[in-house]
Amino acid sequence: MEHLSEQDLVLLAFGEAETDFGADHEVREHLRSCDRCTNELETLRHVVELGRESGSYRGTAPTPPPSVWDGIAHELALPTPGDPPAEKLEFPSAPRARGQRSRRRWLIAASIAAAAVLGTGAGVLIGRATADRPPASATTSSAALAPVSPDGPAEAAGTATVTRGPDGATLTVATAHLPLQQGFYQVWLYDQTANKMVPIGTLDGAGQGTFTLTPSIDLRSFNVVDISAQQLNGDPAHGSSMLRGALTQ
Amino acid sequence: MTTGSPSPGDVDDLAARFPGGDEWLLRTVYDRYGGLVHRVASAVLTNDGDADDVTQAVFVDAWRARQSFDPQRGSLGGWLLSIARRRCVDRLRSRQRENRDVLAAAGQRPQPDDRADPERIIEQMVIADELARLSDGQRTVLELAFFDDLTSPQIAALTGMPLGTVKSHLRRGLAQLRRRWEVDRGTPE
Repeated sequence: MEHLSEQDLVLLAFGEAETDFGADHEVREHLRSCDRCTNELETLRHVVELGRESGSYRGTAPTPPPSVWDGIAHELALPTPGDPPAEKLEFPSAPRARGQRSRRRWLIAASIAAAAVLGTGAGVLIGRATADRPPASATTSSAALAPVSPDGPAEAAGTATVTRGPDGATLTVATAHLPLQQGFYQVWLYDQTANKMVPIGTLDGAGQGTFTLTPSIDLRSFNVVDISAQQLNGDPAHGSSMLRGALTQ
Repeated sequence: MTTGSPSPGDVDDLAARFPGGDEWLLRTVYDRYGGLVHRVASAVLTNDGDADDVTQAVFVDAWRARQSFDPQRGSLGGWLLSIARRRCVDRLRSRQRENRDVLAAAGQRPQPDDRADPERIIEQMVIADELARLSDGQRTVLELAFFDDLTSPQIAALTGMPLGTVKSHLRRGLAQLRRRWEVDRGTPE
């Protein structure tokens, strides 16, 4: 038995009479004898009905007020930007290559620069940038983040470092001279070949962040770190790229 | 530069990372689903203050119970909405109790509650949420079909798109709404 095409079923679900299947009575006749097409049409009609009803919510507030997130963060005692550091800066005791040392220096310099810009205590930044890092961790790759035109200001800069420790890979991002804005900065890993982006986390108020990477992210393909400016409007889509850089070994 | 919205794979990735995630991940999940949960709560409870409280409670519940979320068994959105549904129903019940007490004190009989069905509102909101995520072409065509009740030839005439394009936008767009509805409508607990 020949069935109605998906296209025809969709048109029927919207209440259109014109289908490729044939005349109206042929369609009705087929539906009387075909459970498969009848069930499919019923499901599509339900979705169309919901779609029509959803119109009454158009224009409703797209995001909860900021007090809702504040309440969540308070109730769960989540760390917020500006919290005192959990621990003081501690350099790993394992010997490090010269390149790593200079990168670390740069990171601290960037932290301090960001602190100066954003008016936050430098101790907070350094504490945050190094918190939870196992002493034995080794830098596996890093990226210098450069401004992306047209939104990334020329003076903005940053570094991203991937370290591997006993608990998996960690991405540490430090930025400086990102402009203050209403929204927040989101860190993404970007697979250029597949043009896919994975959101990793949000930078704190000082432009820093340390994120545990899930083992399912393959850093060989997701090898570009991207920092985007996001609006607090509930839209999870990637905002404007501000900084970007490719991870290299 | 704008690189477009993350692909649906990213939603799966969020779900996979959620049970063992850190607080930054909770923020990402909140950014993705907070609006939807809040819109559902506002529509069910018709009171913004209650909707704020319920939204907060949903994400606090979700975070505390994150280890019990199994990405193999359902979507993260559906799971959050099932928590939202439970929280909304609890709130409605406690309101009904209060109303009953007030009415009883005043010597009146309570009226049956004809408020909209939370299940239906969740379904509508999931569809509204996904509609907003469709490509511009699909969304435009579906909105004209849903809200302006236009047929595909009328949409083609209005927008200047070829009729075949309009039909394929209708088909693909509706298929995407349906997939999301099947995944996220959740099941009553």
